[in-house]
Amino acid sequence: MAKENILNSAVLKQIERIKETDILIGIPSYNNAHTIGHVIRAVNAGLVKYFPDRRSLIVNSDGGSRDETTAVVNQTEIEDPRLIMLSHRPNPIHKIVTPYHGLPGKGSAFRTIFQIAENLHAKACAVVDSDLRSITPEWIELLIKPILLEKFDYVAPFYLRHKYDGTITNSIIYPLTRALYGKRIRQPIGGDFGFSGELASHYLTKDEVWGTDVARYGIDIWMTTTAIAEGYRVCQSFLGAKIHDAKDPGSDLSAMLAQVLGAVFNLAEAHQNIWFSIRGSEPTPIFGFRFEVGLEPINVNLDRMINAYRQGIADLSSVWKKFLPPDILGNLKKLVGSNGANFCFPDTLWVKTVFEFLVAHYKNKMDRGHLIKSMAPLYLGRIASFVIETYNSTAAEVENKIELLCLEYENLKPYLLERWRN
Amino acid sequence: MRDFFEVAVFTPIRRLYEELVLFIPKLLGMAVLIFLGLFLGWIVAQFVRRSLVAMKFDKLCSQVGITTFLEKGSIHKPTSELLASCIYWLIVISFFMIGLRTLDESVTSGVFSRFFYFLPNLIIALFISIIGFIISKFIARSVLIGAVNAQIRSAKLLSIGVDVLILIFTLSLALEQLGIAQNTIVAAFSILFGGIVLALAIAFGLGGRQLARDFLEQHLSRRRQKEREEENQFSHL
Repeated sequence: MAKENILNSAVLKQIERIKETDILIGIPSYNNAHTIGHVIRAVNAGLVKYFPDRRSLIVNSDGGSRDETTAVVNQTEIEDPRLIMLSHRPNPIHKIVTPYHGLPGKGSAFRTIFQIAENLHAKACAVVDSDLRSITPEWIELLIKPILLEKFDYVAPFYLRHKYDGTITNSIIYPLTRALYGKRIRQPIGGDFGFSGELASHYLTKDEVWGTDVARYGIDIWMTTTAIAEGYRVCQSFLGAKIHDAKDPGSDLSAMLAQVLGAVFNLAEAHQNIWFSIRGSEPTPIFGFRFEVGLEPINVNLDRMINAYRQGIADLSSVWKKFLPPDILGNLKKLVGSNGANFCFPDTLWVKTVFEFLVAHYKNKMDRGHLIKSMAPLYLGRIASFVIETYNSTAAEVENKIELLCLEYENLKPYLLERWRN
Repeated sequence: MRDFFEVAVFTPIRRLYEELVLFIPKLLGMAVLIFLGLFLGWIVAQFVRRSLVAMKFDKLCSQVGITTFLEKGSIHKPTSELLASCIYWLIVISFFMIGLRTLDESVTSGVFSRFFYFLPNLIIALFISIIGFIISKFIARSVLIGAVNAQIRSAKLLSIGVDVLILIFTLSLALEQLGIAQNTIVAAFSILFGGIVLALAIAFGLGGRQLARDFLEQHLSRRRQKEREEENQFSHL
């Protein structure tokens, strides 16, 4: 079958002119006019400062922004020596600005970046979000050097985040990925990654995923899982704090859950022969100098989350009883009785619930979109419980709590296997 | 005396014999057709059943709630088997009707033509009912999950309402296809649907003018602002 051409003629002409590059930095964007200028300047400074003798390229893959994003990218000066107080580098940094092809979403933007990386035979690549406020030139060094110098294939980010930030990551994605594939990648859906040109080409061979949720929010977990499950060398880099634009108010939690969890569950199904035999987990090397940072306080509306859980139990039990065992459903219902500060969603019950959803997804117990979206109230209940439990805890104590949850996932893996096979 | 036997005995026997000679091949023909129907029905039913099993039709029916619905009616057979049985009996009855026609065309032709005239409509009506049922359950569940996630208090009521409306619409389509009380069904549906819309319009537009004003003010301006302030500020990802 002929390979689908996802690059337009203008980009192909630029590629023909550039011919080859050592480093490629991809920046997907959609309506990020306020922040993308800062991101490009930071990337540029990182390339100039840490890789002055390497041929470098910055690619902005845009999803049809209606604001000034593209204009800002075009106007941002990328050869400004004042940024780093260094003289002009021998090789110019090229820049490609292109709309992407395919389903609207981050994954489609990445696909364009992978394709350009392959066409230019890039040795090391990195992708960074365009809404970042905390990105520094050092991020580029930390995402690229493990690839160029240590021969790693994939660099996952390691951030310091507020204890209530990244809740899907902390309660499901990190512990589940760790229990399934046996690698401790703390931010598997961090959004900013480094990867080798070889791995970029490997991603492009997976034609079947670009019409799925991988083309949207699912891309991050897909990249991480593919790298781990298919035996690529994986490490992490400490990037400090991740501060980015406030989330899109229009973004819907259930849609986000459906895309991210849908991707995780589909990957678990695709790689079942790999994770069946894995027990426990092993640490992954971390690059970078660890330091503490001040994190912005964030509001949490507990009542709203607990009410969402209660309504879920009242209205969706008839949906869940199609696949949740009676004892688990019974225990979930019991939580409704506890009020405010006593609301507690135990780790074991949460892990078993996640495993049951995973198995029901695998066994097609109902429409998969419905299945995952129906999990949103349970997830909010779990987060409410976590917030109550860790209200006065320090960041380190919260991290210990997450570690205990991870161990629970690992300990209950035989339960998952039994439910999966029967 | 000889004439008497000729008229009273031999002639009826001869006639009976002649009729039997004419009837037996027809009877045999009918029997052959019935056996052919049974055999063909069995073959087609097996083919349909196996194809449906291969296509995981039972799982699909279970997902959309058809299996649960049938179980409520004490039907515990897999849906694929049920559908195969329907097809089997449809073929058997069709061949039986053809067989009957071989016996006496004058008596059975009316029934025969009416049966075969009605058959396509029956199949289409069944098809409409099944598709309508599947769609109603799917959309009702989408509405339920979406409404719960949006924290709409009457999520279940909304979902049941959508389910019932689609089922009524499906039923009216199926009955119209069968030609049963066509005008009545269409009128009943129009009255019911129009009535609901009118009731809502009156309730909201006249009876609840103040409520509507409050609703629009609160929900479209102040409340949205408040919700924005109260919204969790953490990122889920």
